[in-house]
Amino acid sequence: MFNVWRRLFRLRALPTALLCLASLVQAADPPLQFTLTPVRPRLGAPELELASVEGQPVTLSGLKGKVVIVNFWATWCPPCRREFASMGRLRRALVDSPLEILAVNEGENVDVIEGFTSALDTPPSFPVLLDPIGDAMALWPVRGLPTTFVIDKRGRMAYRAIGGREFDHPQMLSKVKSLLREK
Amino acid sequence: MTQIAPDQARAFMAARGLDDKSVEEFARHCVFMTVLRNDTKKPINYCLAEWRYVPGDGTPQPMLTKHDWLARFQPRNQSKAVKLAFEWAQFPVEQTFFPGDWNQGMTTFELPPGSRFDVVYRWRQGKIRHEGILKNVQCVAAAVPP
Repeated sequence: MFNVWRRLFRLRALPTALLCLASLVQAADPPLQFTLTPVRPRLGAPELELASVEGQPVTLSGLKGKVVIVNFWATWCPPCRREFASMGRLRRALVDSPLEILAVNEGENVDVIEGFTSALDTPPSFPVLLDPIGDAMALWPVRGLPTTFVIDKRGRMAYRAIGGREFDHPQMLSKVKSLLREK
Repeated sequence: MTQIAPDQARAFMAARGLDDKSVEEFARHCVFMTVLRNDTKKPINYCLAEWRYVPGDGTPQPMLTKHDWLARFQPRNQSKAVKLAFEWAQFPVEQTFFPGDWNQGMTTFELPPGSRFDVVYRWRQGKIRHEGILKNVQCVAAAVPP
């Protein structure tokens, strides 16, 4: 289905947008970003209590003491697909650290999800969780996919990112490492 | 903005499980993949309710939002999972973007493929309201089943 998005008719930018402080982007594949916005004050993260695609129960509260990246996504969401592999690279870059990544899929079944993950160069080394009707996401401040939160070791939202990211970009790695150094 | 041609819109929504009637209704509108990103150093926010499109007759019109579509689909009793996919594939109705934040989603206009129109998009940064215009947007016609 991603190919459907890629084979679209192109409608090119008008310079008007470039004059503005914020710009509409016309490229079919906008660049992935590498910013993380601090959440101030850090707020307690809502609970996540979901099953993984393997059927294992996972809770966010059970991961206290670890830095946790919570990523809300779906396979039909182009930027979600594009950023997914970078979460795996981030996990591998910090393999010996108390870091967990939870990829919370919205509304899709295991077959659809595995159709996507099995086509990746490297299968995900982190849990992919099922949120079949969006109940879990509804408890989080999410208005668009993908949205990602970085949870500190005390279970508080430390950073937020809306839109696709390159998670193993040095700038993002640095912020995650900084959180990992916190008590 | 990049047009999603009727067949592509049809294929995307059918694959999400939307019923045939709703798929057709959606695909008979002008649908665009829309991206908005904050490239500045301060937060911005927008609300789709403040955006307008201006068709040939010059009368500004509000855009269709996910709420409009879900209200239209409501009598057809879609499953929660189908509504979830439809809703989240649409461009968010409201967002606050910090630097680097962005979204990609569908915007729809109450016009048939083959139309041309301008899009007036608005956002706020602090107390200052900004506006931009995309002129002469072309929604290319494609074969639509009778």
